[in-house]
Amino acid sequence: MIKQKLKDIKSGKLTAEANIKVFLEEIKKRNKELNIILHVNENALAEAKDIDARLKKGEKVGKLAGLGVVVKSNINVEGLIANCASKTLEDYKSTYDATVIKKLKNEGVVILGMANMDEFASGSSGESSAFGGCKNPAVLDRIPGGSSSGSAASVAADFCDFALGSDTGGSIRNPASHCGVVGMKPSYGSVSRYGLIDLSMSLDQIGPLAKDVEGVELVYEVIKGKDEDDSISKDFQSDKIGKTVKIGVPQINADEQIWDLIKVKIQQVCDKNGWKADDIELKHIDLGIQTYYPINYVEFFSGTRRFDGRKYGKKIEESCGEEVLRRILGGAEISQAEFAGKYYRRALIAKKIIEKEFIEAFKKYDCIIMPVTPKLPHKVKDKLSVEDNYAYDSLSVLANLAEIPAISIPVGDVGGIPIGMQILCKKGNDSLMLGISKEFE
Amino acid sequence: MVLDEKNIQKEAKQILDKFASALAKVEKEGEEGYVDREDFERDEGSKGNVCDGEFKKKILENAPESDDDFILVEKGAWK
Repeated sequence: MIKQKLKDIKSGKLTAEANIKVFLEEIKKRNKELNIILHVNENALAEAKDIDARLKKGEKVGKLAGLGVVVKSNINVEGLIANCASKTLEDYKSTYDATVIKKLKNEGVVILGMANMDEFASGSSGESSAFGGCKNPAVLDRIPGGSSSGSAASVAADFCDFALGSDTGGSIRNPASHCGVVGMKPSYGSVSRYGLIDLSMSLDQIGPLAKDVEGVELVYEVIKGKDEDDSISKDFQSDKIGKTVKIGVPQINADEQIWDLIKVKIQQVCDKNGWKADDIELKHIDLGIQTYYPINYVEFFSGTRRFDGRKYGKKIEESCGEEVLRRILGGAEISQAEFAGKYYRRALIAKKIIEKEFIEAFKKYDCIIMPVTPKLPHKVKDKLSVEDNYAYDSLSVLANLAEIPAISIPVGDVGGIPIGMQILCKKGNDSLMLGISKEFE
Repeated sequence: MVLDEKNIQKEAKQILDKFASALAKVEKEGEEGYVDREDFERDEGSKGNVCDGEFKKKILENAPESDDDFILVEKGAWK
């Protein structure tokens, strides 16, 4: 889809200006109802015109020239508001571009605006934004998922060609699944996080969302790679897809309707390609939530100490919402008790165990397939307990804990509600994962 | 909206206690080296390798005791 559009722009059949104009008009028409975009880039059209002018002159304009992107509001884009959907950073205008933004701009991408999200990425429903929840364009009475709610919704609502999100425990894949789009969490370290306002630095990863795998792949190829400004970033060499692919399907408790869709799809793809799928046992994957949240709480507490009111205007504890406050207070509590090793140390040990379990599994299998979430998205006005909300993350946090790549691709729907399927591969095998994913579209 | 801080804190603690007890059973299976990154060593890159010789000289001169490129300190002496 995107490849064809790129050809059209380069050949002059479609102008960058016309492409961007359609998105801006759509945003203007529907954003009031959907609440997807928090801040529109007023210069978007002028930037698109500039690309057209450069194209006319025969200048180099980049691989993705003329495409429009919506960016999650926790990624810095110079001159635009990166408020993390929080009152704490309500008027914070970025003074620099994140590395991923620099790379996209170098390839001629136009930034359309900043997307709504769960406040400070602390949520998986899309409801905790200080500026009101974002709607799910695919099914309006259900939550869009989160925390990259606006990023997934902007792709689903045709507000952009693709979007950027961040994924700490499923924040790209979860809303991608609920909104019926493709969302990728790259291997930990394969995309620079420089310029990302962190939630939990040992787990955070920036990644793309688009209508199809091809779109996600095009963007990933541009944003990936070693960056001097992010010391954990690295160039990975991915395996290529072979003639036969061995799929591991773990036995996991999830909604039967979701599993049914996934199992039918696996069977179809295996029959078509001569691939093999086996049921596998992963002993510790039921500990994902218990491992993830203590790490998240501690690192979030530590990361938010800079929002003390001196540099950014407001003290976070006095201006944030309930879930953000819960993580800060919980993180402070764990930090005090750290000497006993009861929480954080235990969680780090469990993280290592889960990571090793996946390393062992990938010695036998090229990929592992499972649902993105164990249940269907709830209705917008339903109130869930804290633990029921956390349960959405139980299957997506595993990839973050194991530092491996994972992608959510649409696999069908249950009563009109889009369902995503998760494909996970060995750390660094992002391209292999994308290759396998294409067979499931 | 005014948040009930005490109640939120209590709730967070209860959740974390529950999570910690679920992890207690795997604690013994783990290893101490949980922060190892194996092949994922920090790479300082070209910028990181640049050393300001003058700065290094001053720092080492200021140190009470040094050995080649290292400042020697007594373990725990700063406590």
